[in-house]
Amino acid sequence: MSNSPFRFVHASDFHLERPLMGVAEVPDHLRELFLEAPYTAARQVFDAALAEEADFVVLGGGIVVPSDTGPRGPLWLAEQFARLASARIGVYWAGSPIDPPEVWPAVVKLPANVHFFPTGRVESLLVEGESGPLARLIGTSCDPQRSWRLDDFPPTNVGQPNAASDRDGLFTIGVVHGEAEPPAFQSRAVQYWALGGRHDRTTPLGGPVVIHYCGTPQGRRPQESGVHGCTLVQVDAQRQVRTSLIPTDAARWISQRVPIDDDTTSQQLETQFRERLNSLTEAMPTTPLLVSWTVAGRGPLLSPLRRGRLASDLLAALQADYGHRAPPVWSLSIELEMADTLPPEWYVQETIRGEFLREIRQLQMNPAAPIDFDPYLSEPHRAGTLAAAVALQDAHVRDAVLREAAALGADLLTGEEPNP
Amino acid sequence: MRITDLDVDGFGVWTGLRIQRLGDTINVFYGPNEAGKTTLLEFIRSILYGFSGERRRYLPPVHGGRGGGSIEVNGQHGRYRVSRHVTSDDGSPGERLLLDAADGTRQGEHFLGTLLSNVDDAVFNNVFAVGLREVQELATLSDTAAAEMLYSLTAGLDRVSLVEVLRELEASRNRILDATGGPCQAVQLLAEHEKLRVEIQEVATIGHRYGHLATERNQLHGEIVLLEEEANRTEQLERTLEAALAVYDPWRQRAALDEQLAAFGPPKTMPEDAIARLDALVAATEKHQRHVDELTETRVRLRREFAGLTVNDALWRQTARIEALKEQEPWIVQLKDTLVGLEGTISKLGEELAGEAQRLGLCNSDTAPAGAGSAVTVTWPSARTLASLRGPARQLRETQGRLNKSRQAADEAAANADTLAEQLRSGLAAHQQQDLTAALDQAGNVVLLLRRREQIEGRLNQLTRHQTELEDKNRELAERQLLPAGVLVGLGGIFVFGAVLILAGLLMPTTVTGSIGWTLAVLGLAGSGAAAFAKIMLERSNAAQLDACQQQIELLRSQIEQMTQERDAVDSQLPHGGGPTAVRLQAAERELAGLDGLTPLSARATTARQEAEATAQRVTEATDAARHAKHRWRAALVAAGLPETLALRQVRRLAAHADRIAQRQRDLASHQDELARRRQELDSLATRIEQLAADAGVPIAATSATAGRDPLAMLRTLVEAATAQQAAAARREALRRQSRTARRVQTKREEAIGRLRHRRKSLFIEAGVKSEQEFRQRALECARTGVLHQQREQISHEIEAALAGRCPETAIAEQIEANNRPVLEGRRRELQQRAAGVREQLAALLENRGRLNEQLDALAADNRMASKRLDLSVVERRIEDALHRWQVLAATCAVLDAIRTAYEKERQPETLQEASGYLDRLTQGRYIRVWTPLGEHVLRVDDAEGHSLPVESLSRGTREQLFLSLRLALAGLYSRRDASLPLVLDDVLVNFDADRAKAAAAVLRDFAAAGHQLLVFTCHEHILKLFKSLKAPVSRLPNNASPGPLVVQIEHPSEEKPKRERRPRQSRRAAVQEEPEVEEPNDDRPDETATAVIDQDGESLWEEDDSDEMGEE
Repeated sequence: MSNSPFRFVHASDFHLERPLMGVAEVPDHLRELFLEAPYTAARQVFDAALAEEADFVVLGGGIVVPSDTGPRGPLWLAEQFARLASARIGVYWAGSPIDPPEVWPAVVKLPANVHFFPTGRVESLLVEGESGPLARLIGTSCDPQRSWRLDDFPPTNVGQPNAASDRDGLFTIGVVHGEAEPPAFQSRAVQYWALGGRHDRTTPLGGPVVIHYCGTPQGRRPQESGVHGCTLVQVDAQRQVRTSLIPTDAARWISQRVPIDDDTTSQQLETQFRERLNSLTEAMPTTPLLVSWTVAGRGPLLSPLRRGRLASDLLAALQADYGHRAPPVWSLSIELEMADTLPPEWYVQETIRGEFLREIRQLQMNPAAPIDFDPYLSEPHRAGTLAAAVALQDAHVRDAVLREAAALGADLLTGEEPNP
Repeated sequence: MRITDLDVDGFGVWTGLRIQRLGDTINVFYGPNEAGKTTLLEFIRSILYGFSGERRRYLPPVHGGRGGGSIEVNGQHGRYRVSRHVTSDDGSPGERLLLDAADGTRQGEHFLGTLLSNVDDAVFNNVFAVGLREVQELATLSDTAAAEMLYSLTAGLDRVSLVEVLRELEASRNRILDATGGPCQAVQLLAEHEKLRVEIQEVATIGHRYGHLATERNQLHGEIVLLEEEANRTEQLERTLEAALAVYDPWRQRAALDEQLAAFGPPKTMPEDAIARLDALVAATEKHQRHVDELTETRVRLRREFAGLTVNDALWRQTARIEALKEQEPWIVQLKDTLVGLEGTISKLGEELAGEAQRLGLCNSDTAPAGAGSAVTVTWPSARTLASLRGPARQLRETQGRLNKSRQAADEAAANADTLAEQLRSGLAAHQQQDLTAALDQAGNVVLLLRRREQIEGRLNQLTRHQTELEDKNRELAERQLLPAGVLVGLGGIFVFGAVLILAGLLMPTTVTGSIGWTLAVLGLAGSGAAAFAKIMLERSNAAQLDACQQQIELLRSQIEQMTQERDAVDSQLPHGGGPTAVRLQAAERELAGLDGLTPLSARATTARQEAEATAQRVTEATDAARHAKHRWRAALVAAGLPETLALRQVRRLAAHADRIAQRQRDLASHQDELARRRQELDSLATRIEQLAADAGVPIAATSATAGRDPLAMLRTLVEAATAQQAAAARREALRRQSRTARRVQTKREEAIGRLRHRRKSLFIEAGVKSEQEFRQRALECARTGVLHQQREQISHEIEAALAGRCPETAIAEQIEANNRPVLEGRRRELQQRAAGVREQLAALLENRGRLNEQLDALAADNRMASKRLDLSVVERRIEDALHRWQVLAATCAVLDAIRTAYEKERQPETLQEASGYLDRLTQGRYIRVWTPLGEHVLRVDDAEGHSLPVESLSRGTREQLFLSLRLALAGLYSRRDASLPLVLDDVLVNFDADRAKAAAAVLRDFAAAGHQLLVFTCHEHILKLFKSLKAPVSRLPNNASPGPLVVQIEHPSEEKPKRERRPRQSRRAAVQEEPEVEEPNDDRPDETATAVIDQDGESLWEEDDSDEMGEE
């Protein structure tokens, strides 16, 4: 049997139906970027497959929801698949619950190089190269009504030299969208699990069986910061797998944490911001950046940052200076890290502020103590969704709210005018 | 501050009311309605804070008198009387305030504020001096600074109001999510969110629409394909018929041409442009032949010229030597220039040596001619000879130098002495003097005399003034010799009085004088004696003073005379005229100072003259030394063989130039040797040239005879001959080369002619002919066939162009060969009609499909869905942020609300806590607490059962008890803040029931006992009795029905106590019985000082009431 080396591109979670989101305001000049970023990033995946002369492309689901994109999404994908077809690159697509083969619109014909794994069963097929079969692909698409089962995949060939290979000794690739425990994956006759369903690139198991989530080619929200892209998988003649990231994101979310202390002035803080932005621009000169700032530490700047115009002025200055460049470096927000920023002596003072802080601390130390918001809600809202939305059910949310409440109350009760 | 006295000069119904000795604690005044209690309350307010507002209505006083009055107060600043009166009788604005201290000093108006501890009018009116009206209205407190003490519920150390914080939080919270269900940010965002969701659902239908449109388009596409195929077929046939008709005529012509060509038989081959090639070969052959003929003629001409050129062999052989010798020509020219240069140098050196000898005096210019030869004959001294002259020369030079210096110094000293002498003379001439010493003596003497004259004059003036003063004094003393009339009368009076006393003491009877008769006499004697003694002593004193004064005058006169004589003596020594003495003295001093300034000049002139004489002596000595040195010098010259007249300078120059002259002599000899060698070389060259000319056979003798042996001219003649010989040889060589070249070209031309003839023969063989004529005939036939082919080709092109690839010629041939033109045209019309129908149908389908495609493209490019989803995500994020912010605000509010509740319960203001105590006592435990909600200017009252009630829900009496409690608490608080003012209460207990009135009286008594002064006015007997029962001093106000002074003196129990102990009980009862008479002023009061002393009935009543109270208890 052939042991020819080959390479393929592993991608998933295009989510063409989702523009960039998670911000409270989108400036006009970046609106097009927010809308087109998923398509641009996906195009980069197909460009990479062509540039790397991949033997085939594996899609781990989450690609598109035709009902949410309208005809544009499927048509655009068909166009990209056609590009791959012209280069004789096959596409093997395991649909997720949101994009099973059944939801693909019949009016948009998929090119012949695209193979959609069926739902409800696992399909095995050979990938042919110029000199014979390259690998065996085993995959399934997710049924929206029923979750897939790992048991449907063939078990390992116990006692054989390459237990994870198929019976013919071919390199085996499992394609599916979803989660499972690494040991369970290892029990199947698959040497490389091309998985989809996670937006961050992760490799739960690096060998000999490789379990890899390639992540989305484009981060969608500020929490999905960092580089995103697809994975180029290279399998050599000894069936050794080497994965490498190919960045494809059209815009990159960046999180920056800026420390301050008692001596930090507003000018120094602004200088730190600008130095960070300059460094980011130098490091990523061609990628639009969406930067979320977190200021952490203590000192006199905390109060003007919380209550005054310092944060908004800084943000406006950074947006004006860096946000309109090409490519833009847009600062989204400046937030304060609410971790123990208040002076400890305030907690022991015999003042309203001291009592307030002590009461807050009591609530923090006793998560079961209720905080009744009903008096602040109107009668219609008390039984509605709003009441549920504002209820502090989650412990982390409750802690964050109490931290911010402590800072806010301390500011108001201190009575110092924030610096302009 | 305590009020001790009230003096009402005129205020309302009161005129001349005096209330004195008010107690420091409680003072109860009883008076029925209309008795003037409220007037007294307003009087106190007016005196302390002015006659403003409503208080003006008490002025002018009802019973006349001056509007106003005074209050005497005692406090930490001392005792003061505060007087305030209106300044106009009609009660119009205008008042005067006086603050008089007990020690008589008066303070400014501003001090009243200090006395009142800066409590303002409003606070005093509503807290300290309250009537029934004020106590019934809590709102009157709200407008005062005291309100803050009631409602300022905050936590001590904070600077921020908790209520303000809560309000701010509530406002922020409600902006996000309104607690009352009003419009707010969250609701607005949720509405926006819902709207976007609906829009997204609407936009989501474009997928289905796209599917329908795509299916419809696909069906249309199938129909269009079928129709297009039919249309293509029809169009193809139509195009064929049309093309056949278009090429029908050319097609026929081409067929005719094909027949003509076939008639020529099989085509014969003939090279292209055969005739032209043949003509070209013939022309080229003729051209080459003409060139061959021309070259033959040229060669003959060249041979003839070559034979005409001859050659000199001897000269030709010597050509190399001549060339070599020719290279010596620059050297010969240089050699001749060197000879000329050497001769000039030698001549110049000889002239320089001769000139040098003449300048140095070694030869006589008249006898020794200049030139090289004469220079050689001069004898130049040797260096040793010149060295022997060095000693005499040095001596001569030194003596000469000293002589010159001496002469120069003598000239300078003489000139200096003359200059200074002239300056001195001119200086003395300016002072009209000739001798400086005599002039100085004379000027100094004049200055001394003038100064003395000045002193004498001053002394005389002084003495004259003193004399005048003494004379005035003398006159005065002379006048005082007679005592003044006053003194005489006084002394005389004393004397007479003494005499009278003497006489009275001596002469008057004892019954009149008593025991002092002798005493009077002695006193009279003493007085008379003293007067007489005084008169005598005064007269003697005046006489003595007059004598002393006259003696002084005499002495002064003698001194003045003496000084006058001395002045005349001085004047006689001084020159006459010149103005006042002071002016003359100044002129004399200036003269003396000017002469003093010439003294240094005189000294310098003397010194300069002595110096000139000394230098003249040194010149004489130097002249002798110089003469002796010159004599020695001449002797040394003679000894050295040099002329005696040779100067020292010449010898020095000779010594300095000795080396240079020797060098010049050596140069001259060297140049002469060089000249000889160069002449010899030139002669040698001339000999060589002559020899070469002879060898070459060139005659140069004529040149030698005319100019001597000029090697350069001989060489040039020889070179010219050699050059001519070389030119002839070169020409012969050139002719030979030309002939050879012509022969080579001729050979090539002849070979070309051969090749051309060969090619013409090959042309004939190729054409298959044997002769040129046959060749030309064959070419003519080929040309005719070619024309026919060309015509056919042209027609074929036309047909091809007409078809333009629309259809193959085979199809055309089928149509044309099978049908004639009319048939073809008919079929074409039929096909055109059919194709038009198909096209029309197809166009309609294509239009439909295009419209569908446009719609599909628009749907495919529609990204509204993404745009809406982006907007939705933004709104969701905003909702998330807003709700999170709301959570923070609500959590903060929740905690602060809990704190607020705790504060309201535990941290009420001190005033309210104290008021709660009073209220508890006043209501006898029914209401136990008064408090204020945080941040609200309202009061709430808690009853004993824990119910919290608003003030408005209380009964009138309870409200008054509450408000009285608040006043007492506020007064207490002000007192603790050093604002201790008397509390004046006017009928504030009128609405209390008996029990609460009793409790109130006890509260007021205890309040007063705590150090507060209270003035309580009441119109109720039972209130009066209550206070009496509590041992409070009470007083009844006098009748104010008619004007007149009324005095109320408060008698305090503490003062009466000793008397009370001493008095028997019976007498006290009697006093009580007299009380009405005393209290009720009658009309029988004396007019001047009608004083109604209101006796304190407290003593007996207290006793009674005490017993009653005790009995009740």
